[in-house]
Amino acid sequence: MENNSSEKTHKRKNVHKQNAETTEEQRSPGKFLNASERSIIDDETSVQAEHSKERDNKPKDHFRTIPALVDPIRGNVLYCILLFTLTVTSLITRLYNIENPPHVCWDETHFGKMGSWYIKRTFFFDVHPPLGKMLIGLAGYLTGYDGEFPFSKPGDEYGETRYVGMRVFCALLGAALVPLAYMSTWLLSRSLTASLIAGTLVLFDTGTLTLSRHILLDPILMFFIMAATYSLLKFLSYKDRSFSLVWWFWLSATGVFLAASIGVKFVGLFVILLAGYTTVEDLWQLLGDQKLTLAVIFKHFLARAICLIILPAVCYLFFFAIHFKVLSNSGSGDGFYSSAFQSQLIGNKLYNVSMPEYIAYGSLLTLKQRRTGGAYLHSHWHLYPEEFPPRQQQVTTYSHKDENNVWRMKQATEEPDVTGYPHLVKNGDLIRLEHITTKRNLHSHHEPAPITKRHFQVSGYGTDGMGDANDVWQIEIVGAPHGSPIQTVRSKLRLIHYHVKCALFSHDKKLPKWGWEQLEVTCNPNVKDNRVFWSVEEVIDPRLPNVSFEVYLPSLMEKFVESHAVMTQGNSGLKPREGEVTSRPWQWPIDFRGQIFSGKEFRIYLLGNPVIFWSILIIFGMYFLVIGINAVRQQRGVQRSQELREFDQRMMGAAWWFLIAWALHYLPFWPMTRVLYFHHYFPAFLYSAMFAGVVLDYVIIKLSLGVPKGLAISFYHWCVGVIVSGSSYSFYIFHPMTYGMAGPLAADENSMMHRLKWLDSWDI
Amino acid sequence: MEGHKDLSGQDGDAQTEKNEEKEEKEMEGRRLPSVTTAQRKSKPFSVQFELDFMQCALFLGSIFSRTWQLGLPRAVVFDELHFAKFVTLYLKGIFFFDVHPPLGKLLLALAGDYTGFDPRLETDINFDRIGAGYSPDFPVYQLRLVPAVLGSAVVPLVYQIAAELGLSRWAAMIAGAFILLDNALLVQSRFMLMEGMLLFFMCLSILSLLKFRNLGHREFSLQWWLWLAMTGLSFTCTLSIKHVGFFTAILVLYIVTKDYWTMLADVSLSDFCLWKHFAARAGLLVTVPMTMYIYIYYIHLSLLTKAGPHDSIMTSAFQASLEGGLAALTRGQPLYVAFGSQITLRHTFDPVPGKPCWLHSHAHVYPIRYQDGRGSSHQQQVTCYIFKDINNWWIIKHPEKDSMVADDPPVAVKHGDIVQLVHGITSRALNSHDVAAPLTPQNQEVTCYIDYNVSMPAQNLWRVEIVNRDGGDDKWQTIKSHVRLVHVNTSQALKMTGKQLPEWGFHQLEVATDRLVNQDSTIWNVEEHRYTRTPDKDGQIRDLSQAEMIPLEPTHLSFFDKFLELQYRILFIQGDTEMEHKYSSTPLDWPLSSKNLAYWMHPVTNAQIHLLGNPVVWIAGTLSIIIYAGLFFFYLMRQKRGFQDLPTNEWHQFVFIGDLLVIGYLLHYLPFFLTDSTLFLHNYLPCVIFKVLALASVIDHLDIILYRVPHGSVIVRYTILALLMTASWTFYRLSVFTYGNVDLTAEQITSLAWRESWDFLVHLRVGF
Repeated sequence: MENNSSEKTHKRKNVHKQNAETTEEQRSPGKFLNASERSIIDDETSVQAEHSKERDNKPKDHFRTIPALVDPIRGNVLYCILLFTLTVTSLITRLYNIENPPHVCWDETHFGKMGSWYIKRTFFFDVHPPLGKMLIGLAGYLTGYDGEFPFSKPGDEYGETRYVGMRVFCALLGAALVPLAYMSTWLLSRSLTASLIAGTLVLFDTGTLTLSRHILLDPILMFFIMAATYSLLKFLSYKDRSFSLVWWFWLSATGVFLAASIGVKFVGLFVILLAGYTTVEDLWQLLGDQKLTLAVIFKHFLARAICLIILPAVCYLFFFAIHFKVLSNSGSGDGFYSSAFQSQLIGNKLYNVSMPEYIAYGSLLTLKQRRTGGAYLHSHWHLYPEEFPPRQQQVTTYSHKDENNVWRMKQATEEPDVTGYPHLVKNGDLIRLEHITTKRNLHSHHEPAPITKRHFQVSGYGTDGMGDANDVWQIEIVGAPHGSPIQTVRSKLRLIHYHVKCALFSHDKKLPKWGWEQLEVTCNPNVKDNRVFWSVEEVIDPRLPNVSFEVYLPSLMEKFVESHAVMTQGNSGLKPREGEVTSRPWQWPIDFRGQIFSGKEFRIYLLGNPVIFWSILIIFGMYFLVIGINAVRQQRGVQRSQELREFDQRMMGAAWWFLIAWALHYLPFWPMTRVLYFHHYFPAFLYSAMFAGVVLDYVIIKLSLGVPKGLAISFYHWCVGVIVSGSSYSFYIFHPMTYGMAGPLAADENSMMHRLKWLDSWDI
Repeated sequence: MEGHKDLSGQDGDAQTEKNEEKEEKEMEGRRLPSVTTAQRKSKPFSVQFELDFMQCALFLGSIFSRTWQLGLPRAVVFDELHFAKFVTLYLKGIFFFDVHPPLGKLLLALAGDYTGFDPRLETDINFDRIGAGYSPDFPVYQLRLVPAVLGSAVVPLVYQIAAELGLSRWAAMIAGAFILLDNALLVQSRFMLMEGMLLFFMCLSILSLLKFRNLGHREFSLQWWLWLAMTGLSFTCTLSIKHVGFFTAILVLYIVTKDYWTMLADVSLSDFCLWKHFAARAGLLVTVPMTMYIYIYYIHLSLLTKAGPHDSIMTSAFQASLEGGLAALTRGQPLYVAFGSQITLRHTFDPVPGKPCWLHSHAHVYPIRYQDGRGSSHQQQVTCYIFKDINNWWIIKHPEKDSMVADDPPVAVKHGDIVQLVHGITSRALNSHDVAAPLTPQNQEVTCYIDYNVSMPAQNLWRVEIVNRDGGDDKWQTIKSHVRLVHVNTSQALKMTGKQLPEWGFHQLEVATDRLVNQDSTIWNVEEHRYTRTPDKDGQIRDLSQAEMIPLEPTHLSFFDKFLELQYRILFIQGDTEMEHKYSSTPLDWPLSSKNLAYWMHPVTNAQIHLLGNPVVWIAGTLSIIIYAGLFFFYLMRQKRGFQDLPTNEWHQFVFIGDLLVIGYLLHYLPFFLTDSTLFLHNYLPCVIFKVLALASVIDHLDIILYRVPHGSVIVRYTILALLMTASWTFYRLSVFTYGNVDLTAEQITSLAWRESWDFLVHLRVGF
């Protein structure tokens, strides 16, 4: 950097000639540099001033101008040199010593395991969408990993396992973050310095580096987010070549990367919001362009709708299609899904079975609660204890298959004829359910339930199927016309107690020991509760024709919707693991506490480079100060030169955009109630680094306008030099957190991290 | 009620003058020492009195509807359960805790005090359930009168706001009438509830703001100052009644800031003048409100000086500053904890507010094996117990001395000292070791040490770390000092994990040590304290069982300490958020009045009171917000394409209405989507005011733009009339649920359940 600056501007270039270049070249990086600095170059003074200090400053107009950094031709070359340097450094830092530690680190235990499951094609459940894990699986597959390693807990030695391929894959994507940050900053700010600082901050942040070096979803996610950002900005830079091929290319690339981001983790939603905001803003500008007809504007709108809404939706669906296609064997995730879903998995009990489609009086059946984690209606020979009178037989729900889950369907008033003509059960019928093993009827009455006192007790009552009027239930199919027959698996049922008018209900509350820790079943007076729905799962009735279970096979769309319902439920229910240190969003930007990746001899600690994190905090302060002052000055009518105004607009516009992007990736975490971790901050961190690059560049330029003219340019370069070398030095001192710390903890004087434990909350 | 509207005729000259001065200000009539000197000379001591009949009629109507049969039902209605109880507690001076700020309850208590009601004479006040009857002496009518009168004033205030916004008489009238005819606002103002007062102050602050803005051309005049001050004071009152008032304050500050920002662009104003404006606003809209807010708490805390049932939510230090209760126990305890002190250790930050617990042990041991197969040390259990008990006493022992008697003078324990804690009754020392805790395996077990001779030595040394020592005094103080006990051998801190032990631990709470020292759950403080004087064991036990205190220094907590603690509890500690309620609702249920909230039901008949918005008013209001948004975007897009549909000043007026009413609506509505706590329909009522005003403005705007369309204004007039008539009809039909004075048959109730989601109650007359 220093080098370049000193040797720059020996050659001068005719600006007018530059202007006459072709459009394609105008978009090349070099041109923009001089667009901002054109007047200086025209003006000769500032450039000359640096090299020939003896020469007197010519009197200029009363506005000072921005110092030139490089001349246009050099700019183009310099852009490439910097890009190359950053990329190579990034690759080196990310791939260095990647096979260490040779044991499972932190969440590798999950994502490595899931990668193995893809390789072995067994079905599993996870709260994240599939793309990231599929890519990990693919990378493992291509590099010869056989899927046999169990990844059972962090700290397990890999031994002979070929895990490096997966790590390298993640690291490569992680390495791409640096050039992407550099190029994105360039596209918005058109300032090489800003881009350089942004790239450097990302490069030297230990946290981003640590996240990139392991088998995790985060490097993949961050790569797609940054790729989407870059394509979006690239697309916007082709503003004056609408509907050209490159324009379409970058627009659809944006769409694809957006889909990929959300296909890895739902956090990708934020970058979609960012793209949405930017597109709306862009369309709004187009609307203001009086030269465009409404038809053209509509065409613009349509193009974006297709490429940014429909295309991503199709891609996203496609990822799921692959996911379902690949995972064809029964595995650990079956239980989360409905029976129809399970019937498609090879090896599952429900695979390829056949049973009656409808239910008749006299049929034997099992009832399953329709919600994730819903269990079978169950009863057994035990009574409710004395404390919860009356002492009738317990009714519970139980998630395992068991002969005590079987019930017989009966009319309200007569005993069924199990051999005669089968009368189908219809929507709205009055029925009784007899428990097969104990011959007691499903019963409820005005007595409080054992745990949920507001509800009524449900029990088994009667002998040999003879009970009383409180055994009568009305069976309803939600959303079906009155009188339509009840279907196995498909119908969404509600059982309303005929006298009490309450609905059969179950939830997650467990009964104590006397109830064998099965789940409580009650009769809920609020029949509109969303946990009162049931479905008939298995039907045994020789009189009815069997149909293959395939009639229930869900379509891709149904599976897609169901897996999302399951994921949403799983996500909101994420509780911290025992003894796990979780964090809240306020801790993230201040680097309050990191995350232990590897706690053994070879300690790895995920923590943002504190120098970088804390500097960014200061830069946020600077930014608000600057825009505050600028806004008040403008409002009070203080005049600026045209050039200065354009410069302000461009830099502050870029900073504003990155600020929005940062806020969109950070603020939504505040109201979230699920368990959060520090690594959730890193997509936001990338934007804050680019933001910092732009603001720092702006502030330095503004400051150098204030120093004596002859010193301005050296001042400027000194500042940039200090920033770049400062961040690399801070990386140097904190690098053991990423590449592994050995020896005693920081509190010990002999520790390599001694004196580096700047906050008590860091576990180093 | 002196409205000051109809300027026509009587002060023609002044009016013309003003019209010339500021055209768009035609509405802002006021009794003013008029504009020109000539005017002043001609009428030296005149008093103008203007009366707006419409406004008077609305006010009378609202007074009547809100106070009619106010004393009935003479039973606890919905949240009166809390508020009536708080009033009696105020009158008795007993401390209580409530999540809402105190002003509303203070006003109610003031009314209670004025009636001369003295709850100390009452023996059988119980507000234990909704529907319970009040005792004959309880001033039900007078207490309900406060919200009722303030709630009635909302109607003319809304009318006045509409007028001040420059809307036509018709539009202002419809705004007032809709507020008058809304069943929900009516019900909420008729009982000892907060919203009647809240809405009054909210409307007052908006009205003052508008008055202040409209006086922009007469800056720094007396009225200008008055209305500015009034704005600040009234929004402070709003937010001192319920925290939702913060949004009103934000709205006011937003509008004022925006105006000031436009003022900055006015180059004719000097910098000095701008600073003056800034100082006036900052002083009256920030400093004064903050002072007043604190002052209201000052009154609150100086009234409530006695200990009561809610004390245990607060820290020991807070409780010790109250009369009676803990204070009676602890007053006169020795201040400094010394070697040989007998103490009870309270866990300072309760995980569940109101469930404090004390370090406890008893002569039972941990089971040899837990259910999950892990083993324990089989030593004596140490738990945290939520009741006061003789087994909560511990004695501090110097590790190098055998005696547990306090020296004379006692040697105070300081920050960093190493101590042993000996359980008072069993005389075993607090111990920890590398054995997993029963419920939290990643933490260490804490025991009272029993020597089984199994090569498991005692590790019973603890280092005292005082967290809140300020300045030079690092002695361990009773109650005040927040202490961490760090286990010397393992550097882990004594912690209450918040988990309940199973049966073998008598369902007490688990105590363990945690590697993570720096957390709230490792903080303890001494609550009861005295020095050991007898060396022999029996004497010590006798001492423990009799709580005899030696009077020394009393505890004192400054107002600001109390204020800050109370604020912290109110703002950051949410109670049981999981609380389910049959009638709780979500924000999506509100805008279209799709849910009701049962308030009261007659014990025998089917007479009942529900909080239920008038569907015509609520739906029309919501529609108007949507229409406004639609129009706004339409105009914006047209402007972007270069068409100006509205003249500049009309456009500014249109934007201002959006700023005030639509932003106001959203500010008071959207935040509810982010809260976790249980929500009820009455949280929505401030929004109703905004949307009714928005409706009036949209009608007024449509009136203006339809002027060019043939019969346009006629259509608008008829729409207004039709709206008013349907609103009155629905009001009338639903008023049975508002006054709760009519016994209904089941059929009547079903016929009134216009929406499936409305849930009314029917007594089952046939029992089982």
